[in-house]
Amino acid sequence: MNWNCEQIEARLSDYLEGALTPEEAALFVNHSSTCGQCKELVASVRGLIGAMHALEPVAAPANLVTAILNGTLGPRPSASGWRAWFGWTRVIMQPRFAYGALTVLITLGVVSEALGIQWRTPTVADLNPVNLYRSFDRQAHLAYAKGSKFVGDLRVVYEIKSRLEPSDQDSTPPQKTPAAAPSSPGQSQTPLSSPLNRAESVENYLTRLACGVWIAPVRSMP
Amino acid sequence: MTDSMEDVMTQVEEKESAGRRPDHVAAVAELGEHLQKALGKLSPDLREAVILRDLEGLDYSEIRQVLEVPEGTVKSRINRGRIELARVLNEMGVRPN
Repeated sequence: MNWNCEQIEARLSDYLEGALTPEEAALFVNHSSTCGQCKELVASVRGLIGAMHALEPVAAPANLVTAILNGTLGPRPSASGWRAWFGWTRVIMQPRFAYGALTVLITLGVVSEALGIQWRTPTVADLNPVNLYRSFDRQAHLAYAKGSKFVGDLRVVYEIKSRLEPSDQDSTPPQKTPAAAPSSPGQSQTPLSSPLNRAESVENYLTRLACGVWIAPVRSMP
Repeated sequence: MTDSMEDVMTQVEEKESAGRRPDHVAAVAELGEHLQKALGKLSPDLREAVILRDLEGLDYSEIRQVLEVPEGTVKSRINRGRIELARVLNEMGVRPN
């Protein structure tokens, strides 16, 4: 069975890409080598594929997007008159421009506040670099002092809390047996677990804090 | 028989510089222009199939996803597009090698 010219055309790409079985390839070559028209066609398509593969990718023209939009949506009406003069204002009327402007204003406000510039009663002295530096230095030291005080207070509170709840950090878990429950009214309890002693400790700590004679080695206290 | 090192290096240099020779660059550019004109004479279905396969280098499954047609249709369009393109170039007197 031999192939005809129509079969050669239909399977030409398969032959050039090596997708034919050996039997099909033999039939293809058998016809294309004897038929002058098919031989010419195979040679030209093979050369065409090689030439296209050798071509570098073509860069898209600059007006491609505009041409596509004009071809699909139709040409857009061009602005004329005063619209053409004030067409650039559409750029600043977009939400992202408003967001950017708002961010810049907030940043300027924060920076001017840090530099001590009084916008309500502006004076020339506010713009003096020396005054700006002093104001910024004062603000920086105030912020540092506030931060240090906050951290110190936080540490004191944590120390008081850790001293008032020592049972949570003890290695021995609390015994929940019924025998450990207070059976007699005269049975003594641990001093720190007593509400009375705990209130006394809180008062003691607060008194020390108020007097400003806080002793650093708190852990040695009962 | 083995060639000397000079002969081998000369062949390598000629092979490497063949793609950058001015006449070759000009021939490729001219072929690209003819190819664009010939592609413009194809039907849109055949043109986009050939471009995606031979110029963009996509495989059949990718072209099937792009064009949203069965793979058999993709192969048929590529084959017919290549043959039609070769005929158009032949009519234009262009013989790509």
